[in-house]
Amino acid sequence: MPDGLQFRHKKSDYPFLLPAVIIVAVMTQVPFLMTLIFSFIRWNLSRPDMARVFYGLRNYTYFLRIRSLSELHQFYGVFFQTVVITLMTLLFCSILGFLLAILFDHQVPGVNIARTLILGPFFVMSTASGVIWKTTILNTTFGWYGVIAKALGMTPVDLISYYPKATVIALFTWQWLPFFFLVILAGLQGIDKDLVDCARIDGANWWQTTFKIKLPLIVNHLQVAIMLGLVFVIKEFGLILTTTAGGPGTRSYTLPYYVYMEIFSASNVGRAGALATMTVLLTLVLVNLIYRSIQRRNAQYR
Amino acid sequence: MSKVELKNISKVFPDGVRAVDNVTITIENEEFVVLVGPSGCGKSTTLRMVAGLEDISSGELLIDGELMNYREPRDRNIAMVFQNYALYPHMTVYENMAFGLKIKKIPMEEIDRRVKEAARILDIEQYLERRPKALSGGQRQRVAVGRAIVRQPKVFLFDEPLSNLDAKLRVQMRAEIIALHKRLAATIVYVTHDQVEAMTMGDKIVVMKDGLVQQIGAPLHVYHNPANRFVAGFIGSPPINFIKCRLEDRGGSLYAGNIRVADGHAGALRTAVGREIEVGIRPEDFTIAIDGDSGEMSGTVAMIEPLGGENNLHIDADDTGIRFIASLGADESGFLHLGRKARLGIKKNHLKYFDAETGRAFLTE
Ligand SMILES: Nc1ncnc2c1ncn2[C@@H]1O[C@H](COP(=O)(O)OP(=O)(O)O)[C@@H](O)[C@H]1O
Ligand SMILES: [Mg+2]
Repeated sequence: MPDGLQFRHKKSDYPFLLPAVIIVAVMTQVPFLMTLIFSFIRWNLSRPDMARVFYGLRNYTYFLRIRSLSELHQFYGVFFQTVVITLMTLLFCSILGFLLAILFDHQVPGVNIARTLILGPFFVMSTASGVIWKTTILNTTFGWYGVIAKALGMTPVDLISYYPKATVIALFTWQWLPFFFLVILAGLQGIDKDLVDCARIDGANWWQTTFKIKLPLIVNHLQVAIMLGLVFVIKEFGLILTTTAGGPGTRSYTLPYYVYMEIFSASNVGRAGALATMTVLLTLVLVNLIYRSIQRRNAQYR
Repeated sequence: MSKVELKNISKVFPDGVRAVDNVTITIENEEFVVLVGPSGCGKSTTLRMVAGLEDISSGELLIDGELMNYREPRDRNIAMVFQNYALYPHMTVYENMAFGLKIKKIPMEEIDRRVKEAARILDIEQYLERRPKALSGGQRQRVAVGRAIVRQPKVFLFDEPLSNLDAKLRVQMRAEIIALHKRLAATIVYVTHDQVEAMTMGDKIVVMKDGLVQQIGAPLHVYHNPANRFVAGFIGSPPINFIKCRLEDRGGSLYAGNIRVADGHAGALRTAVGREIEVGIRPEDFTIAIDGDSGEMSGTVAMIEPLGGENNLHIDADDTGIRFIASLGADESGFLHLGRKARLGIKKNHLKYFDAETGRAFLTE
């Protein structure tokens, strides 16, 4: 019987797979597992006198415990800020990415070069672009922003300290827009040309064709972009570190930056682990929501 | 009333391809015209120019005498059915049909009435709330036709609407579209590469090749009087047989190779004496040679396609070795088994003669 043959075949395959399985497991799962373990341990680097002991959920409750509604732990503020910054970034990326992709979904000379140039921000390291934005562009004295504002007779306000969240959102959007553009453009180019022709015969104008035909047809692409973008934006760290450094105060803290500060400033590995774990949970919950809505739509008309 | 006139219409694409070359066609009111030709001959481009989806490079397009060249598709009062249905996948069947009407700001009750009416005609009433994904190919095709009907256009344009359907469904939809044409008294321009479709559906067929119109006429007229070698070869299944030979005058009678030219044809052919010509013999224009008659063609049966009522015999000619196809009644040709010698007569009055060089037919009516 071929069955027996297959069985023997499979059995002898396993040992050869093992190295790959181990490598993948170590590479992908071990760092997270370590984080998880740390989050249950009392471990303060600046207090070597205190033993590293199992600490239950106390690292979590330190952040989550609500003593009174008027003085919530700053974790809640940072959590809220992270959600706002991430969602606003994804929102702007979606809207601008869609409009930009619509704009570039034409076969005109030079369009391929333009498309490639648009991808620029995506390829620059976020720390590098953060430094450039902070010093070369947004600086009120030497930056283009300052120079131009002064030339126009205005007094430039320091955006980084007055509008830290908006600045961070703008920079995140700048960095991730190309990714959205690329995915949405791929979606637009995959639309059956006959559908667009059909809409023309039906009398649809640009607005109707764009928002009633094209947009619904690329919603899946958009959702995939949002899902992937979410995973990356939520843990974006370099841009914050090099521009606002979470400041002023904690006004542009996000969870990853909080984790970083908890380790390198507060030296508390256990609490950092708890924060990191909660960030991952937040990401998983959001990704899951989007994924389900994609599944629902697919069941409907793909 | 809706009469469509294409006057010397050409299409040159930006890359220099002349896809449609000086095409002149008149489509009368309520006429079913089929554009037919091999793939890439410019049928779709012609149709798309009528629809307004492609600019017309030169020439004039008139609908009911009005110049349409610069009108937007929506202002031409046409409806188009695409090969791959082109249904909006995110809309239900109802929404698909209603979309164009909503844009035209037609009152909701009127839209509802039209959609339901079309759905009834096409027997898709029970699917109105489904999305295209949940429909079979045939049902999708009906929805696409329904979407055209509700627009109540002056002209229906079909671009190979049946190519994606299986053979049985194709025959059925063919009949339905013909019935629909009668019922709506519609003017239809229908594109296909399938000559059987063209023959069975069209009031008038336009045979195209390389962007040029080869012949325009009623299907049977074109079948019996092809304007050139290409049309003769393209229309008809199994295809016409060609025999290349020299036209000779033997003592007052014209001979094409061994075949004596019918007296009725001799007049038109006399100018071509001494030239290379091609004789076209339709498969059904062969007869079994009766005893005593030597027959015009003889050969060995190489293959038999029994179709029930008749047999298509593939025969290798003795003199030239050319394989030709004869379509003979099953009863009379039953004795012709594989490998047997067959002696066949030819209905000489039905033969077609073409200039070997230009392909033009000598006999024209
Ligand atoms: N957008 C286009 N740009 C350049 N050439 C085209 C374009 N569309 C069609 N063609 C060319 O025009 C010719 C006719 O095409 P088409 O009308 O689609 O043929 P058919 O429908 O008869 O198969 C083909 O040679 C095709 O390659
Ligand atoms: Mg075509």
